[in-house]
Amino acid sequence: MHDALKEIQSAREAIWLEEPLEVKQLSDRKAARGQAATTLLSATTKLATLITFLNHVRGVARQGGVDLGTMKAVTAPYLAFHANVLAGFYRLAETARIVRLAEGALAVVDDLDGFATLLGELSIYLNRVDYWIDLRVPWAAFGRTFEKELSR
Amino acid sequence: MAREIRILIGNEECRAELLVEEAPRTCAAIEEALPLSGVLSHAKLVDREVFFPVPFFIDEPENLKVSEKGDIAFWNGRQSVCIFFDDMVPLGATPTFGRITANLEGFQREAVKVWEEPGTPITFTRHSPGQEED
Repeated sequence: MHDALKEIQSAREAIWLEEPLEVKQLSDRKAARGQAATTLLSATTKLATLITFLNHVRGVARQGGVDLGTMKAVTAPYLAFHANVLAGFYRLAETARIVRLAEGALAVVDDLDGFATLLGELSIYLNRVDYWIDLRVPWAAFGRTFEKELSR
Repeated sequence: MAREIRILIGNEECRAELLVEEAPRTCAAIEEALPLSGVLSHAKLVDREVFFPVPFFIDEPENLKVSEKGDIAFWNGRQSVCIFFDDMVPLGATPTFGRITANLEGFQREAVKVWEEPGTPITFTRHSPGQEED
Protein backbone atom coordinates (compact mmCIF):
# COMPACT_ATOMS: atom_id res chain seq x y z
CA MET A 1 0.00 0.00 0.00
CA HIS A 2 2.94 2.29 0.63
CA ASP A 3 3.60 2.70 -3.09
CA ALA A 4 -0.03 3.59 -3.74
CA LEU A 5 0.02 6.20 -0.98
CA LYS A 6 3.14 7.78 -2.42
CA GLU A 7 1.62 7.83 -5.89
CA ILE A 8 -1.57 9.48 -4.65
CA GLN A 9 0.47 12.07 -2.77
CA SER A 10 2.60 12.75 -5.86
CA ALA A 11 -0.52 13.12 -7.99
CA ARG A 12 -1.91 15.57 -5.45
CA GLU A 13 1.29 17.63 -5.32
CA ALA A 14 1.30 17.84 -9.13
CA ILE A 15 -2.11 19.49 -9.19
CA TRP A 16 -2.02 21.45 -5.94
CA LEU A 17 -1.15 24.80 -7.47
CA GLU A 18 -1.64 23.95 -11.14
CA GLU A 19 -5.01 23.18 -12.61
CA PRO A 20 -5.11 19.74 -14.23
CA LEU A 21 -5.48 19.75 -18.01
CA GLU A 22 -8.42 17.37 -17.80
CA VAL A 23 -10.27 19.90 -15.64
CA LYS A 24 -9.52 22.70 -18.11
CA GLN A 25 -10.94 20.47 -20.83
CA LEU A 26 -14.18 19.81 -18.93
CA SER A 27 -15.61 23.01 -20.39
CA ASP A 28 -15.27 21.40 -23.84
CA ARG A 29 -17.41 18.41 -22.84
CA LYS A 30 -20.68 19.68 -24.16
CA ALA A 31 -23.78 18.24 -22.59
CA ALA A 32 -27.47 18.77 -23.30
CA ARG A 33 -28.23 21.58 -25.78
CA GLY A 34 -24.56 22.08 -26.55
CA GLN A 35 -23.58 23.65 -23.25
CA ALA A 36 -21.04 22.54 -20.65
CA ALA A 37 -22.38 24.26 -17.55
CA THR A 38 -24.21 21.11 -16.53
CA THR A 39 -21.07 19.09 -17.23
CA LEU A 40 -19.21 21.13 -14.61
CA LEU A 41 -22.07 21.14 -12.13
CA SER A 42 -22.60 17.42 -12.49
CA ALA A 43 -18.89 16.64 -12.20
CA THR A 44 -18.52 18.62 -9.00
CA THR A 45 -21.62 16.96 -7.58
CA LYS A 46 -20.25 13.50 -8.37
CA LEU A 47 -16.92 14.31 -6.74
CA ALA A 48 -18.50 15.91 -3.69
CA THR A 49 -20.66 12.83 -3.18
CA LEU A 50 -17.63 10.56 -3.37
CA ILE A 51 -15.60 12.79 -1.02
CA THR A 52 -18.43 12.86 1.53
CA PHE A 53 -18.60 9.06 1.45
CA LEU A 54 -14.83 8.73 1.85
CA ASN A 55 -14.77 11.11 4.80
CA HIS A 56 -17.58 9.24 6.53
CA VAL A 57 -16.08 5.78 6.13
CA ARG A 58 -12.68 7.16 7.12
CA GLY A 59 -14.27 8.56 10.28
CA VAL A 60 -15.94 5.24 11.07
CA ALA A 61 -12.63 3.42 10.59
CA ARG A 62 -10.82 5.87 12.86
CA GLN A 63 -13.34 5.25 15.64
CA GLY A 64 -12.52 1.54 15.44
CA GLY A 65 -14.64 -1.42 16.48
CA VAL A 66 -15.75 -2.22 12.94
CA ASP A 67 -14.95 -5.10 10.68
CA LEU A 68 -12.23 -4.28 8.16
CA GLY A 69 -13.48 -6.82 5.64
CA THR A 70 -16.94 -5.30 5.60
CA MET A 71 -15.52 -1.78 5.27
CA LYS A 72 -13.45 -2.88 2.28
CA ALA A 73 -16.38 -4.77 0.75
CA VAL A 74 -18.53 -1.64 0.92
CA THR A 75 -15.86 0.77 -0.25
CA ALA A 76 -14.17 -1.05 -3.15
CA PRO A 77 -17.19 -1.30 -5.46
CA TYR A 78 -18.13 2.27 -4.63
CA LEU A 79 -14.69 3.41 -5.77
CA ALA A 80 -14.91 1.26 -8.89
CA PHE A 81 -18.31 2.73 -9.75
CA HIS A 82 -17.07 6.30 -9.40
CA ALA A 83 -13.86 5.62 -11.31
CA ASN A 84 -15.97 4.47 -14.25
CA VAL A 85 -18.24 7.51 -13.98
CA LEU A 86 -15.32 9.94 -13.87
CA ALA A 87 -13.52 8.25 -16.77
CA GLY A 88 -16.72 8.08 -18.80
CA PHE A 89 -18.54 11.19 -19.94
CA TYR A 90 -16.32 13.56 -17.97
CA ARG A 91 -13.07 12.10 -19.33
CA LEU A 92 -11.30 12.75 -16.04
CA ALA A 93 -8.85 9.99 -16.86
CA GLU A 94 -6.14 10.84 -14.33
CA THR A 95 -8.64 11.32 -11.52
CA ALA A 96 -10.22 7.98 -12.38
CA ARG A 97 -6.78 6.35 -12.45
CA ILE A 98 -6.07 7.53 -8.93
CA VAL A 99 -9.45 6.28 -7.70
CA ARG A 100 -8.72 2.88 -9.27
CA LEU A 101 -5.26 2.90 -7.73
CA ALA A 102 -6.82 3.38 -4.31
CA GLU A 103 -9.37 0.69 -5.02
CA GLY A 104 -6.56 -1.72 -5.87
CA ALA A 105 -4.59 -0.76 -2.78
CA LEU A 106 -7.58 -1.54 -0.58
CA ALA A 107 -6.98 -5.22 -1.25
CA VAL A 108 -3.69 -5.15 0.66
CA VAL A 109 -4.84 -2.94 3.53
CA ASP A 110 -4.59 -5.04 6.67
CA ASP A 111 -5.88 -2.81 9.45
CA LEU A 112 -8.30 0.03 10.06
CA ASP A 113 -5.54 2.61 10.44
CA GLY A 114 -4.24 1.75 6.99
CA PHE A 115 -7.77 1.88 5.63
CA ALA A 116 -8.31 5.36 7.10
CA THR A 117 -4.93 6.58 5.84
CA LEU A 118 -5.57 5.39 2.29
CA LEU A 119 -9.05 6.87 2.10
CA GLY A 120 -7.81 10.10 3.66
CA GLU A 121 -5.14 10.54 1.01
CA LEU A 122 -7.64 9.79 -1.73
CA SER A 123 -10.11 12.26 -0.24
CA ILE A 124 -7.52 15.07 -0.10
CA TYR A 125 -6.59 14.44 -3.74
CA LEU A 126 -10.21 14.38 -4.91
CA ASN A 127 -10.99 17.46 -2.85
CA ARG A 128 -8.33 19.37 -4.78
CA VAL A 129 -9.67 18.17 -8.12
CA ASP A 130 -13.17 19.17 -7.08
CA TYR A 131 -12.11 22.65 -6.07
CA TRP A 132 -10.40 23.14 -9.41
CA ILE A 133 -13.72 22.30 -11.05
CA ASP A 134 -15.46 24.64 -8.62
CA LEU A 135 -13.24 27.47 -9.87
CA ARG A 136 -14.44 26.78 -13.43
CA VAL A 137 -18.13 27.11 -12.52
CA PRO A 138 -19.35 30.68 -13.17
CA TRP A 139 -21.26 30.83 -9.89
CA ALA A 140 -21.89 34.58 -9.98
CA ALA A 141 -23.29 34.52 -13.50
CA PHE A 142 -25.25 31.39 -12.69
CA GLY A 143 -26.81 33.08 -9.66
CA ARG A 144 -27.70 36.23 -11.59
CA THR A 145 -29.29 34.27 -14.43
CA PHE A 146 -31.26 32.12 -12.02
CA GLU A 147 -32.65 35.14 -10.18
CA LYS A 148 -33.49 36.83 -13.48
CA GLU A 149 -35.37 33.76 -14.66
CA LEU A 150 -37.24 33.53 -11.36
CA SER A 151 -38.45 37.10 -11.67
CA ARG A 152 -39.86 36.68 -15.19
CA MET B 1 2.84 37.14 23.34
CA ALA B 2 0.29 36.47 20.61
CA ARG B 3 1.42 34.17 17.83
CA GLU B 4 0.69 35.64 14.45
CA ILE B 5 0.64 34.73 10.79
CA ARG B 6 1.01 36.98 7.77
CA ILE B 7 -1.63 36.68 5.09
CA LEU B 8 -1.00 37.70 1.52
CA ILE B 9 -4.22 37.93 -0.47
CA GLY B 10 -4.04 39.38 -3.94
CA ASN B 11 -2.30 42.72 -3.51
CA GLU B 12 -2.96 43.04 0.21
CA GLU B 13 -0.97 41.99 3.24
CA CYS B 14 -2.74 41.32 6.52
CA ARG B 15 -1.97 39.75 9.87
CA ALA B 16 -3.91 37.30 11.97
CA GLU B 17 -3.61 36.14 15.53
CA LEU B 18 -3.52 32.41 16.17
CA LEU B 19 -5.90 31.46 18.98
CA VAL B 20 -3.44 29.16 20.67
CA GLU B 21 -5.28 29.14 24.00
CA GLU B 22 -8.62 28.18 22.50
CA ALA B 23 -7.41 25.88 19.72
CA PRO B 24 -3.89 24.66 20.56
CA ARG B 25 -3.83 21.52 18.41
CA THR B 26 -5.34 23.23 15.39
CA CYS B 27 -2.91 26.14 15.66
CA ALA B 28 -0.01 23.73 15.98
CA ALA B 29 -1.10 21.85 12.87
CA ILE B 30 -1.48 25.07 10.92
CA GLU B 31 1.89 26.41 12.08
CA GLU B 32 3.59 23.16 11.17
CA ALA B 33 2.15 23.37 7.66
CA LEU B 34 3.31 26.96 7.03
CA PRO B 35 3.77 28.36 4.48
CA LEU B 36 0.32 27.51 3.15
CA SER B 37 -0.62 28.62 -0.34
CA GLY B 38 -3.80 28.26 -2.30
CA VAL B 39 -6.36 29.93 -4.49
CA LEU B 40 -9.60 31.22 -3.07
CA SER B 41 -13.14 30.15 -3.80
CA HIS B 42 -16.20 31.85 -2.41
CA ALA B 43 -18.57 29.91 -0.17
CA LYS B 44 -21.83 29.07 -1.90
CA LEU B 45 -24.23 29.23 1.05
CA VAL B 46 -22.60 31.62 3.53
CA ASP B 47 -22.11 35.16 2.29
CA ARG B 48 -18.78 36.92 2.90
CA GLU B 49 -16.79 33.72 3.35
CA VAL B 50 -13.84 32.63 1.24
CA PHE B 51 -11.87 29.42 1.57
CA PHE B 52 -8.98 27.41 0.18
CA PRO B 53 -8.15 23.72 0.50
CA VAL B 54 -5.14 22.38 2.40
CA PRO B 55 -3.61 18.89 2.13
CA PHE B 56 -4.35 17.56 5.62
CA PHE B 57 -7.07 16.75 8.11
CA ILE B 58 -7.40 18.16 11.63
CA ASP B 59 -9.76 15.61 13.04
CA GLU B 60 -10.59 16.75 16.55
CA PRO B 61 -12.46 20.06 16.34
CA GLU B 62 -11.57 22.78 18.84
CA ASN B 63 -13.07 26.13 19.75
CA LEU B 64 -16.41 25.61 18.04
CA LYS B 65 -18.00 29.02 17.82
CA VAL B 66 -20.42 30.98 15.72
CA SER B 67 -18.21 32.76 13.23
CA GLU B 68 -17.78 36.52 13.25
CA LYS B 69 -16.17 38.98 10.91
CA GLY B 70 -12.44 38.34 10.78
CA ASP B 71 -12.56 34.76 12.08
CA ILE B 72 -10.46 32.02 10.49
CA ALA B 73 -11.72 28.45 10.80
CA PHE B 74 -10.85 24.95 9.66
CA TRP B 75 -13.47 22.82 7.89
CA ASN B 76 -12.28 19.25 8.25
CA GLY B 77 -15.00 17.81 6.03
CA ARG B 78 -13.38 19.42 3.01
CA GLN B 79 -9.92 20.10 4.45
CA SER B 80 -10.30 23.82 3.98
CA VAL B 81 -9.29 27.04 5.70
CA CYS B 82 -12.29 29.37 5.80
CA ILE B 83 -12.09 33.12 6.34
CA PHE B 84 -15.19 35.06 7.31
CA PHE B 85 -14.35 38.51 6.03
CA ASP B 86 -17.45 40.50 6.90
CA ASP B 87 -20.78 40.27 8.67
CA MET B 88 -22.69 37.16 7.59
CA VAL B 89 -25.04 34.48 8.83
CA PRO B 90 -22.94 31.33 9.39
CA LEU B 91 -24.29 27.82 8.97
CA GLY B 92 -23.36 26.94 12.53
CA ALA B 93 -20.48 26.72 14.96
CA THR B 94 -17.11 26.33 13.26
CA PRO B 95 -13.72 25.23 14.65
CA THR B 96 -12.05 28.64 14.86
CA PHE B 97 -8.27 28.98 15.16
CA GLY B 98 -7.49 32.54 14.15
CA ARG B 99 -8.67 36.09 13.81
CA ILE B 100 -7.55 38.80 11.39
CA THR B 101 -6.07 41.59 13.50
CA ALA B 102 -4.42 43.89 10.97
CA ASN B 103 -5.72 45.17 7.63
CA LEU B 104 -9.08 43.41 7.65
CA GLU B 105 -10.17 46.19 5.30
CA GLY B 106 -7.52 45.15 2.80
CA PHE B 107 -8.56 41.54 3.10
CA GLN B 108 -12.14 42.59 2.45
CA ARG B 109 -11.14 44.56 -0.65
CA GLU B 110 -9.67 41.44 -2.20
CA ALA B 111 -12.10 38.86 -0.82
CA VAL B 112 -15.22 40.67 -1.96
CA LYS B 113 -14.04 40.22 -5.56
CA VAL B 114 -13.78 36.42 -5.25
CA TRP B 115 -17.47 35.78 -5.92
CA GLU B 116 -17.20 37.33 -9.38
CA GLU B 117 -13.58 36.39 -9.99
CA PRO B 118 -12.55 33.30 -8.04
CA GLY B 119 -8.96 32.11 -7.94
CA THR B 120 -7.30 34.92 -5.99
CA PRO B 121 -3.98 33.61 -4.62
CA ILE B 122 -3.55 33.51 -0.86
CA THR B 123 -0.56 32.61 1.30
CA PHE B 124 -0.21 32.14 5.04
CA THR B 125 3.31 32.53 6.43
CA ARG B 126 4.80 32.78 9.88
CA HIS B 127 4.99 36.27 11.34
CA SER B 128 7.84 36.72 13.75
CA PRO B 129 7.61 39.26 16.60
CA GLY B 130 9.02 42.58 15.49
CA GLN B 131 8.85 41.62 11.84
CA GLU B 132 7.93 44.66 9.77
CA GLU B 133 5.52 44.66 6.88
CA ASP B 134 7.21 44.59 3.49
